[in-house]
Amino acid sequence: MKLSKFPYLVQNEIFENLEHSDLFWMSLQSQNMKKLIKSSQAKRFQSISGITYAKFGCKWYVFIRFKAINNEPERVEFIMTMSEHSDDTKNVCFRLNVSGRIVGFRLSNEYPLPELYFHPIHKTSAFKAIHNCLLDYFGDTVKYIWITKSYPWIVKSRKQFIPQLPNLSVLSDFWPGDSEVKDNLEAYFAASPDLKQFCINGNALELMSTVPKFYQADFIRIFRPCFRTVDAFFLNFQGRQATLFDCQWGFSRLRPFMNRWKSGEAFQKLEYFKMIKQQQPYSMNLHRVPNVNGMKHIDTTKKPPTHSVPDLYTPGPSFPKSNTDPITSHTYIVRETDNRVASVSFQGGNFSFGVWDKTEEEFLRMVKTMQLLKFPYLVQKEILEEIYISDLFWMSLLSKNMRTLIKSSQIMRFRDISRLMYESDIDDKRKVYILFKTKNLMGTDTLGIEGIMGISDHHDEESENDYFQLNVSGKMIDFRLSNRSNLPEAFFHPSERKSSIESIHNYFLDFFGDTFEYIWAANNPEHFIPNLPNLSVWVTNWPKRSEAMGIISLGKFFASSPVLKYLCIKSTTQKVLSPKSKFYQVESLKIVQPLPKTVNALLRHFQGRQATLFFCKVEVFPLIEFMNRWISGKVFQKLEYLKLIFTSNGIALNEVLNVNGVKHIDATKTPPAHTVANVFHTGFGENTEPIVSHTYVVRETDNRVASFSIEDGDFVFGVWKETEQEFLKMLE
Amino acid sequence: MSSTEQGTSSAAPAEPTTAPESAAAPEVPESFYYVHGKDKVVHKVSAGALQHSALIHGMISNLGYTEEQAKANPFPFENIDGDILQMVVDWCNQHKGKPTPPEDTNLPKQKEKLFDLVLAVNYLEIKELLTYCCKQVAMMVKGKSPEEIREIWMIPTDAEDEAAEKEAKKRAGKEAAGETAAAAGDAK
Repeated sequence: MKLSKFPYLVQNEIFENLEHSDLFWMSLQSQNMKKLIKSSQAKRFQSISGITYAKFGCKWYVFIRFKAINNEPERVEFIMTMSEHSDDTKNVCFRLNVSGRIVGFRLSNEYPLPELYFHPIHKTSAFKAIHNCLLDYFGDTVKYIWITKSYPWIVKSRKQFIPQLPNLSVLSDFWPGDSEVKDNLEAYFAASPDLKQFCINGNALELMSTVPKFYQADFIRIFRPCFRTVDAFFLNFQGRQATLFDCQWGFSRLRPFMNRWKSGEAFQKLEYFKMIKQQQPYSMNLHRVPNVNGMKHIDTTKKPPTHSVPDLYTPGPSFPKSNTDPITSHTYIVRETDNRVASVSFQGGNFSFGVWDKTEEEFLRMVKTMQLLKFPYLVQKEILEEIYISDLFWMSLLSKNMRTLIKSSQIMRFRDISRLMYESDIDDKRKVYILFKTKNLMGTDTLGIEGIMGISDHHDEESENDYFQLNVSGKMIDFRLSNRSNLPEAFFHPSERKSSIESIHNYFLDFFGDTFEYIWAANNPEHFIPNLPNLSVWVTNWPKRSEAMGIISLGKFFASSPVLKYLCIKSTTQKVLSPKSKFYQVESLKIVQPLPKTVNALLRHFQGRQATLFFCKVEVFPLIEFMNRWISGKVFQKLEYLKLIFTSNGIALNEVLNVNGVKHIDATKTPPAHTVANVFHTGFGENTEPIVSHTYVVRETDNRVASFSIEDGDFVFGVWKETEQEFLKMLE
Repeated sequence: MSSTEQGTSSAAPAEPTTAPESAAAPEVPESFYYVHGKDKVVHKVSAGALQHSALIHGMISNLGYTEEQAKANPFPFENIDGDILQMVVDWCNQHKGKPTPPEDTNLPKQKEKLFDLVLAVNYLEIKELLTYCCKQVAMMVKGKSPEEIREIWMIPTDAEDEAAEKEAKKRAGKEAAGETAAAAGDAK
């Protein structure tokens, strides 16, 4: 297995499968190996943005930073660690020639990484050797950064070590109270290499306000700057980004600052500047942007573009790359020398200044960009057709004009909606979804489901900041974008539940129209069930909950509830509800273990379309009476389907077959199968179980037929929409 | 496929350089037409590529221009920026005589370009490109919050709409008053 004997393409393929850290270590084996890796992996190296040295604890870590892709957090890969020890031969496993210097390595016990081991007196030369080696290997197109932090509680007695090395930038973060840093600032700046980033307490700058190197840093953060510091900053800053925190002074310097920027005499590299005022009652408080000659304004009816640039502040590799605070301002100035624009904002007493890499003409083009309402109607329609209905719902809440546009352009799409469902609640949350007609990949008709929004009875305190208010049918409701379902979620206090849901429902009716069914599903009649126009209610208490409903609870519920579309409960009560109760008007009823009194009451008073009674007991007489009353046509006009599943009670139900008017189909013929669409269905076209029976009865008032059978202990009764004549034609 | 030249519309453009070569040589030599946008840069485009645009196709179908006539009379699209027209021409060339793919990855990602491209494509009646563009525009708001959608598509609030409406009414009123005054002056 001699690597060098492989053809070049094979070697390349092998290298592709190795981590960068492994490749780097291989490159130290020989000059030829280094050359081979560099030439074969040149394309891969293009994804590297920089090499960073950072000290954590008593070790320096060297790692590769990769270019961020699609705003994802920056990826890093550690190459090696470095540490010092007075006995630099202890635990050394191997020695390597690094840029002409033989250095010792050991295998780190924390990371599976080699650790360069050196004596403190060789610190500078060790870093020089490894840096030169990295420069040679990765080239000088990547950034080499040295991160140093001085926290007083960690390094009180230690001097910050910053080597003077070619192509090395320094990111420094010095916090207030570090007296050692403060005392040695001038010496530090005099000796420091290319300074990229600097954070410091302003008081520490008082005595070194004229040190020019400080103001050349790309990025500066100064906390509580004193008057002299602010003055010196405005006079000398040459970097790209700066933030002055807790400023008490210096706002009077903003006008000259902007004038100097406008004339092009200073701040040429500036991208972003922010001054945050001190939150003290005596601090200076401006309410508007200081006026300068040439200050321009964008028409207030237009939306200015938002300025934001990648934030140069780099707390550490694990932090995602972020952007500077967005500046959206109608006010801007233009630099005379190159016609470039800076957005200027003064909000909450804080001054923000963002320089665009665009000329005024380009900037003003952005002001009018992508206004949906500026597109021709047919283009708007085409765009809106590509958007999920949940997103259209969001968008409709933005303005009345938007709502009108969506409603008018999507009217045909909304006609395909067959149902809007308020799903049963789970942990105080419920989801609203729609069912709509669509085509599958084969082009055949099918039913689609799309979530519209979530509804919840309480705020999630952890994400309190994510909420925003929207006006829904005149009521302000808190919303947020759900992390789980990516759907809008409405939140309200339980005391606001009724009015909030009423507003949401009214909004749906206005937005989608009332041509399809709206269904509220509940797990228990005792749960919240709104009484709203065009809203059908499903209550399913079984088999999810096995406890039986008491007669008092049911009575109370039906006294105040709307007429239910569907009810499924377990009821073992001895008492029965009054014949006037809306219980008997439920369109589709399923009752588990009803006692004979309940069965008898239902066989007398039921006014709905479909009923199934599970595991019940019944006498023959009520069943015969039911048949006779149906035949008379005086009651049960809406009935489509009735099924009674009996527990074995030893009663001869065959007597029902002797009811006057029962007719029989010739046994040699196959009777038609009766089935109707279930009132309670999930939307996928479920029908009742087919009834194929040779026995039937005919209603006297309209000559319509009902097939019935008594088989396997069940009684099933299905009403046809056909007359007897039509029914008999269907016989084979 | 297209070539561009800065200058007046009568400038002779160079021959196309990126035309996809078909395997078999066409029996009839392909005819070319010339278009230019706001920047007056002339693009030479084949009739086959221009078939994507219902507007231009309708214009050229019965024209019977010779090469010289076509060169001397480029179609002016003064309402389309030069860079946008270039994108449209490139797309027409790339998709000349080919089935269009379900997704087009070559569309511009910058919002401001896409906006102008949609307007141009709609004007030129290039149905398939318009569909791609609209999909891309729609994708911009997928899974976004209302305020983000407002920001992305610059949707004014009700208050802003009302203010704009009031302003428009005021302006219309002023214009009407000005016209009445002018008519009265004329009558005198």
